[in-house]
Amino acid sequence: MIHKLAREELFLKTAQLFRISILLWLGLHTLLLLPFHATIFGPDAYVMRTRFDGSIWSWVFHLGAHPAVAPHYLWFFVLQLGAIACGILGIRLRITMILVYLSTMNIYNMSGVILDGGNNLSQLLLFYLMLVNTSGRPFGDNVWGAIGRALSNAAFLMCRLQIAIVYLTASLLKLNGHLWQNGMALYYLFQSETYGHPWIGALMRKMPVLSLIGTYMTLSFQYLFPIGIWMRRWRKPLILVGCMLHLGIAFGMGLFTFGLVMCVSYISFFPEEWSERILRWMPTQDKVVIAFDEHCGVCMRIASLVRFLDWQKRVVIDRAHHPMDPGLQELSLEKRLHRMQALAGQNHREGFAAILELARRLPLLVLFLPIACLLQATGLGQRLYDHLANRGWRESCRQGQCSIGTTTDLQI
Amino acid sequence: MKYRIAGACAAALLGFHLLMIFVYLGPPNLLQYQWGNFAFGYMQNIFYQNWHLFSPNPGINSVKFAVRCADENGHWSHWKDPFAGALERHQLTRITGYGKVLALFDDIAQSLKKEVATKTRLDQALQETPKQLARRFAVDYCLTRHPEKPEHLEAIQFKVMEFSPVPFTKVQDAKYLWDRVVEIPFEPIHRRLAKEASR
Repeated sequence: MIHKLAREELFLKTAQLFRISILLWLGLHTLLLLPFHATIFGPDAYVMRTRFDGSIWSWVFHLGAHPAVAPHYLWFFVLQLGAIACGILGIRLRITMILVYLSTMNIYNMSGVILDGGNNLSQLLLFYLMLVNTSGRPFGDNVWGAIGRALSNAAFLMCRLQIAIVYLTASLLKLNGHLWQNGMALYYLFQSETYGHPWIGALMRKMPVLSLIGTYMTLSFQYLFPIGIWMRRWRKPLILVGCMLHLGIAFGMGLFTFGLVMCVSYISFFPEEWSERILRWMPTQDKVVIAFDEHCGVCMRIASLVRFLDWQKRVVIDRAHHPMDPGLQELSLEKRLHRMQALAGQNHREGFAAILELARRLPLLVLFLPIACLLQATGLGQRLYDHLANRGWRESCRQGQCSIGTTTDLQI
Repeated sequence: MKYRIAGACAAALLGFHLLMIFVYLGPPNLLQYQWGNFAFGYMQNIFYQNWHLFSPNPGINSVKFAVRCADENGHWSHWKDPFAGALERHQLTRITGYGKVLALFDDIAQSLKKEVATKTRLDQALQETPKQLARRFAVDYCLTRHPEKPEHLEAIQFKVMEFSPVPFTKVQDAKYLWDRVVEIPFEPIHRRLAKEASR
């Protein structure tokens, strides 16, 4: 069992998905706070701050309290958002994750009073993720690879254990609370101004039995989670119930970012096959070979645009009529000309799915990825593609010449 | 062999870290007695964690902060809750940062209440006491955002109000939203002091 830690990539795809999800959450968290940056983080923010004490920890995690740095606090946000963007796109992950962690810790420490359990969990997960291989690519088969793999697997396992520890500790501490014992905790929580809501508070006053049900359900979930989540059969229902509970906390109690990060944290428990399926819709660093019709002027202009946008060199542009790639050569000419073909590793995509593969690799097109995924999932994307690609203007291209544009100045 | 050694090292690190978490989060026991200081030192800066999450009991009472301002004739404005607008927006839609802003304001009121209740002295590590912070906030509020802000601010005053909800046993017969409201008013602060605070 122990040598498995160093021999196998146990969480390769799940770690990659987890990294993207946590960074997306962190980006959203920061963007939600940015409109209030002066009130919460500025030098004159209404926060009781500790003094900069000159210790090594202060220099690393509490730099925002330094009198010379405090007026320039917005740079921490620039650094954090930049690092988050690079982290989501998978650019220089080792350095990026360290930058995300350091900038986040400094931002959190600028205004400690706004932090909740979700922030606490996120800072721990970000630390562990610095040690995890979240690139989606396996380590090499040498000594350093074995060490890196062992550390990565152990750190990711720690992410999972940390989430279980949250529930275990919270549930054990609740054992001493009389309001949790008599089932009235939610009744009082929803009456409060900070965590309540007038409608839900009124509903609870009208039907206190709802508090009884909600409180005992929350307790049962918190007791079950630390044990049940390790059992494959229990995992799916527990994640579903957990998401419902935490979305209730997010919208009912107004702890939006806390509720959301708890839901995101469940991704660490996803089996590899779930993560792999989801990652097919997300940005990637793997290369893709795309076949463009070299006799079609419009197609070649699109190819030039793709080459211009592909500064990370993730797209290999090939020809549809006379491809260089052996994988493309295996496909029939008719198929290559009928729809755009994309080969990404072992995966073959065509038509709108090939465009989606492009969008996953070009940083500027990543912004359109959610819309593209929606179009692909509904089938509208493929229909739109077929409608546009098989109109009259493309007909002449199939015979080896095209009525739009020329190919003389466009080389592959 | 390399896999066994690397795996064993990683497992040992994991085991050590889990032990430290157990000592740090666990109740006072023999382990904490012997390892407590080391575990606290190890956890405090990087692995600090607190999972109370409304335990052992959620906070029952709501605390509010109110401010009023006086002009040069000594005429006082009405008491205003400076955070009412933020609360309204937070209750209207949850996908905003107003929740965190309210947590920040809530801390001012809670800290003031705590300061009064426990008569604690200024923590040397803090840049401002709760009262100093509340005064700075109240002055800024009276000068800029109070709906009845005077042309010439002469004095400010703030108070903390604590609202206790109706117990569930009395909820059927309750006539009011709150069972009990306690007010903790603070001394008015006159212009000279207010200027100092805003500076």
